[in-house]
Amino acid sequence: MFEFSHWLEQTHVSLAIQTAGWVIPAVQIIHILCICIVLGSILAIGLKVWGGVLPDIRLGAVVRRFGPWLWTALVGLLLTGTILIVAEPIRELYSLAFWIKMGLIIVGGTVTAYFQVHMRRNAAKWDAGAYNRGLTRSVTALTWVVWFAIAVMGRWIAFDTAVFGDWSPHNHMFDAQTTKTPTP
Amino acid sequence: MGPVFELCQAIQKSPLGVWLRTNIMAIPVADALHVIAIALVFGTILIVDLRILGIPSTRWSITKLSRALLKWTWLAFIVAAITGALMFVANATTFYINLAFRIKLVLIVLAGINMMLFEFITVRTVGKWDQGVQPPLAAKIGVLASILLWMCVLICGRIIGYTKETPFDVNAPSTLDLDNLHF
Repeated sequence: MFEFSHWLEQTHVSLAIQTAGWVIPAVQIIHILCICIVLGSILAIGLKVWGGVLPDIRLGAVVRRFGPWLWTALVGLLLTGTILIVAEPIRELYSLAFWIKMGLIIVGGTVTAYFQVHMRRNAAKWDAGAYNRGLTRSVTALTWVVWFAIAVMGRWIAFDTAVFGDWSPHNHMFDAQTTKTPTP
Repeated sequence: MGPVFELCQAIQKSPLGVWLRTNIMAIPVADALHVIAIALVFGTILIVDLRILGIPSTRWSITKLSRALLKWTWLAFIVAAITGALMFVANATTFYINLAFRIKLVLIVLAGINMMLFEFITVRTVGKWDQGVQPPLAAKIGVLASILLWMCVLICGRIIGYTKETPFDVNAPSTLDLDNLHF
C-alpha cells in the first residue's frame, strides 16, 4: 500500500491535479452535490415506503422518478471519488474511514441494486399497491442506514487520526522504518 | 480587534467551547451530522425546485410534493444550524475572520428571503400551475435563484475548510514558559 500510494502520488495525472489548486475543491463540490441528490432521492423513496406520502402516486412511480437520478448521482460519486483518490492517494488509502467506507459502498450498492431490480420485476404489483410492506420497509431502512454511514465515513477521512486513534493507518505509516529497541 | 472578535474569544473560552475542543469526537460528530443535514436541505429543496422547472415532468402536484418534503427541509436545516453553531462555538474567532464563512451566512439569509418571497407572493397563483402545466416565468426565476444561492452556500462551506486557520489566542504571552505550556 505504501509503495502503491507513493507511486500513484508521483504519476503525471496526480501531480497535474495536485498543482492545479482548484481541481480538488471543485471535484469535492461535485461530490457533495451528488451526495445531495443521493440522500434526497432515498429520502423521497423512504418517505413513500414508510410514511405513505403522496397517496395518489404509486410506489412504483416514485421509484421510477427518483431511481435514475439516484443511480446517476452514484456514478457521479464513483467518478469524482476516483479523481480524489488519484489526486491525494495517501490521504485516502491511509485512512481507516476510507476503507470502512469502501466496504459499506459494496453493501449499500448491493442493497440498493437489489431494491431496484426487485422493483422492476414487480412493478405491476407495486403499482397496484400489493407488495410485502415489511420486507420493503426493512430494505429501505437498511439502505438509509448504510448510505448515512457512508457519508459519515466520508467526512471522517479528514478526521481519521482523531476518530480512530491508533487504529488509523496514518499513525503507522513509518512503522517498518523505526528500529525497536529490544526489551532487556 | 473589535468587540465582535472579543465576543468570539469569549464564546471560544466558554465551558461549551472548551468541552467541544477537548472531547476528541465532538467536532467529527458535529461535522458529519452537518454534512448530512445540508445534503438533505439542498437535496429536498432541489427536488421541489426541479419540479417547478418542469423536471422531469409536470405530472406531480407541486403543492403535494412540497407539503410532503418541506418539514424535512426544515428539520434538516435545524440540525445543520445547530451543528454549525457547535462548530462555531469551538473555534469562533477562526470562523469570524474567515471571509467564506461570512459570505456563506449572508447567502443563507438571501436564500431565506428568496424563499419567503416565493411563499408569500409567487405561490399565490399556484392553483393555476400546480399540475400538468408549466409554471410561470416568475416561479422559475425564483427557483433558479434558490438553486444558485444554495449551491453558492455549499461552495462557501467547502472553501471555509480550505481557508480556515487553526485557533490562536490573541492574548497569548510573548514569552514562552516551557514549564507551563497549555493549548
